[in-house]
Amino acid sequence: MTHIPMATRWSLLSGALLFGAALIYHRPAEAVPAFAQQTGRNCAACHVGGFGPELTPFGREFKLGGYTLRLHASVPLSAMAVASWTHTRKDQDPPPEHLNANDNLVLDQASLFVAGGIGDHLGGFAQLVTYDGVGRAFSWDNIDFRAVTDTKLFGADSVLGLTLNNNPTVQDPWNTLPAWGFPFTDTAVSPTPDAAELIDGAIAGSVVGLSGYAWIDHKVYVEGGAYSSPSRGFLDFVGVDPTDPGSLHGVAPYGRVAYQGNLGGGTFEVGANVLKAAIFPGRDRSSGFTDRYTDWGIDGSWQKPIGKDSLTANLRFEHEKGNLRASCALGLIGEDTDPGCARFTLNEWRGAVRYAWHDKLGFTVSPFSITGSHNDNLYESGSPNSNGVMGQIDYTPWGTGNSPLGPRFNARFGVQYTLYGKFNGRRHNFDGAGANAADNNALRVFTWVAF
Amino acid sequence: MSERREQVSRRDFLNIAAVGGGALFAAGFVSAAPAPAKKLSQKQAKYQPIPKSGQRCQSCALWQAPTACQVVDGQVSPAGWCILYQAKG
Repeated sequence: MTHIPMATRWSLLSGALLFGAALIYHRPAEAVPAFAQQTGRNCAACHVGGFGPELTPFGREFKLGGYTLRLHASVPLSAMAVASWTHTRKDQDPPPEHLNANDNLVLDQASLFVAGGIGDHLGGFAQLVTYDGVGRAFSWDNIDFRAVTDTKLFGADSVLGLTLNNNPTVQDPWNTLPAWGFPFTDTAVSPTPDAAELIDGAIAGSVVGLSGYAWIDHKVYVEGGAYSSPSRGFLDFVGVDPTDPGSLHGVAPYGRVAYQGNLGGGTFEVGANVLKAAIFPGRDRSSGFTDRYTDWGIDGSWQKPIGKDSLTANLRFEHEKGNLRASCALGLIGEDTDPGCARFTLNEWRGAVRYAWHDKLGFTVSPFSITGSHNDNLYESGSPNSNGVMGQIDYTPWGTGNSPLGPRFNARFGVQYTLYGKFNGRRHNFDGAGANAADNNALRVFTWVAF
Repeated sequence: MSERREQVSRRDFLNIAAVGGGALFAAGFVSAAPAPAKKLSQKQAKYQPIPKSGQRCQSCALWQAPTACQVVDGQVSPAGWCILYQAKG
C-alpha cells in the first residue's frame, strides 16, 4: 500500500473544513448538517437531545424513506470533527503509537459527508472521507445509499427499499445495534477489551452489501441481504487494510426484523438480527479453510418525551459462535495446526439509559458485558470476559437550531467515564504483568462539532 | 508501474473528496438563499386522516388547533397522523 504524505492529506481536509467554516460565519442564516437544510427541521426533530446519531421516530422515518423528504433545495454536504482529551487511571505501557503514556489530546476524527436525496426515490448518507487522528490515516467511512418507493403491503401504507452500504447495521434506524449504538463517540486512545464480536464493526468498511427492506404500516421492519468483499485494489483505494480481517468466502447473509409501537406514552421497538460470515483471514486461501462466525441478537428500545425532555433506553444482546479453522491451520492462532484450536462462543450485553433535558443536557448510563468460552489459544488469560459501565454527561447548546453560527451549526461538549470491573478475563493481573482492570478506567472530555 | 498508477489514483480520490467537496460545500453557502417559511405537503408527510397505533395529531407537539399543523400544509384532522408525529411530553 502506498501513502500520501500526512501533511498533504491533513492540509487538504483541514483546508476544506476551514473554508466551509469561514463561509458559515458569514452566512448565519444557513448552515449544515445537510439534512436539516433539506427537511427544514432542526437537528432535534430527527435526533434525541438535538445531536446525532440517536434518532427520534421521525428521524427513523426519514432514514427508512431513503433520505428523500425534502422541503428546501440543499447542498448535500456536511462535515464534522471530534477532538478529545483522555486520562487513564494508570499510564499505558507501552504508550499508544505516536502518543504519550497518558493525558492525550487528539483529533479523534474529522469527516466530510455527502448526504441528501434526489427526487422521490433515491437518497444517501455517505461519510465519504474520515481522517483518523489517532491512527493518522484517511479512509472511507459509513456509507448508506438507498432506493425507495411507497407502496401498499397487506393493505397498509408501507415503504419498500434497497440499501447499498459498507457496514452491517449502519442501515438500521434504531440505536440499539453496533454501528449507531451508544457510545456515540469514543476514542482509540484508551485500551478497550480484546474480545469483540464480528458484528461490532470488525468488517465495517471492508465489505459492501446490498439488502432489501420493507417498512410495513410504519410498524414492522423486515430486511434481508448479503455482504461481499471488494477487491484488494478497491480497499487500498479507499484507505482500508484489505487484509484486516480478510476476504469473505462468497457472501455473508444479514437479516433483521423489528416491530415498533406505542408503550407508556412513548415509542418502543423490539427486534432481532443475524449475520453469518466465512472469512479467509488476511485474504489467505491456502489452508482450504475459513474462519466461520454466526452472530444473532435481540434488541429493544423505548423513547418517551417528558415535557421538553426525553427518556430513552436501548438494550441489545448478541451471541456469537465461531470456529477459526483457517487461522488455526495457518498457525495464526495456537501453537499447533489443529483446525479445532479456536472454537468459541461470545455473549455480549449492552444497555444505555439516557435522559435528555431540553435538548441541551444529556445524562447517560451504559453498562456492558462480554463473556464467552474459555480458550487459551485466543485469549492471554484464557477468558474473554470483560464488563463495566460508562457514564456520560453532555451539553448541546444549539440543538434546536439556535447557534450563533446559524441553524445548521451544531456542537456537543461532553465528559465520559468508563469503569471496568473485569478486563480481558480478570479483575486483577489480567496481563500476567500486574495490570488490573481498573487501571484502564478512563476519563474522556470531548468536543464534537458538525456543520 | 502499477504501484505508481495506484499512488496517483488514490491521491486523486482524496484530493477530489477533500478539495472538491470543500469547494462545493462553500459554493452551496454562497448560493443559498434564505429559506422561505413553508410546510411539507400532506403527501410528503404521509398524512392519513385516521390515527396510527393510538397516535393522533391532536396529541402531537406540532398540532395547531383546530385543524392545522406547524409543519404540514392544508387542513389537518385532529384524529389524523403523519410521519412527523412527535408526542407531547
